[in-house]
Amino acid sequence: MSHGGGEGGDNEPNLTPLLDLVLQLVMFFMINANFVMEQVSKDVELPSASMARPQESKERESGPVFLNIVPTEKVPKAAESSGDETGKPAVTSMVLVTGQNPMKPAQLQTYLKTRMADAQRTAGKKDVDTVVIIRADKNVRYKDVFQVLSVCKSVGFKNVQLRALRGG
Amino acid sequence: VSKHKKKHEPPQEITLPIAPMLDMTFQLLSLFILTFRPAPLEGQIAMNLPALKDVKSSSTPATVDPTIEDAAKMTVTISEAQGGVGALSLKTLDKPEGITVPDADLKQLVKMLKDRQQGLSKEQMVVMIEGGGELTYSALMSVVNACREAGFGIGFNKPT
Repeated sequence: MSHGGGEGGDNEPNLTPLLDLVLQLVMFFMINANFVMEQVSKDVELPSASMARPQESKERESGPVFLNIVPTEKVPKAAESSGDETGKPAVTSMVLVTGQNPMKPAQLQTYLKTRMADAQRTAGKKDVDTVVIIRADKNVRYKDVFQVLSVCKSVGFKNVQLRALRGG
Repeated sequence: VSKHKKKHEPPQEITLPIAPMLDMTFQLLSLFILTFRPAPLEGQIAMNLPALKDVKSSSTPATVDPTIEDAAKMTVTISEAQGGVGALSLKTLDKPEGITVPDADLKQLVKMLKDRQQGLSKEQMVVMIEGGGELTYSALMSVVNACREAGFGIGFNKPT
């Protein structure tokens, strides 16, 4: 490092404060970066709700189950295969779950039963406290959301959250 | 002899090359700046579904919410118009035919619900929402939001 500049001495700029500052910035961005965006789908455009509460930080026995419901048009492969003879799409929405193929709302039961079995194994003798988080696109139909809610209920999930953008 | 020699050698000045470190740090910084996207503020509307033992044998239950037996039997009916809210009416035990919400205004709905809060227990503060299957989720959420604003829990009836 520079030890003061005499004539003909090394006139190196002092980089240490700059490095400090840059490292602090790097730390800020690292902390705020969303490496794992939960299990959310970017295709979902959530509706707004001013009464939506901040997400709870309560620790639970098992992780939440994310169900992203999107219109069929947003799932290209599903849109191709979901039409009936008249060309009208028979399925209006698909459920996206990380690590799974897009599912029709009616196909969700098998997946949720597996998750329920896992949750029951984790919970042991306690009640299953797994939360099902429903992230539905603002353009999906009520009938599809209701069908998903009904499947959750029939499988035995008690805690369900509807996600929405806060404010608006 | 060698030990003695070493003792008298002037201490070596160790200079840490900061420039490469700074280069790397700048690269990291630019990566984070370019990929930084603040997450939208998501909130939740919590619902409690009834326990499995309370679920009736029907594959598609008619209602999705707890305590409906204890509820004040209030239902908000949404008439759908091109996916949005066309008309709103509030059915109560004393007005089973429904009271039309003027201009399908959600503020009016909040006011009507708040006017009916008095004398209700916490368990009775539940409003059922019903509407057409083609209603969009954003329209449904606007009514859910109004009910929550009035202090009521919500449940959903099977789409008509």
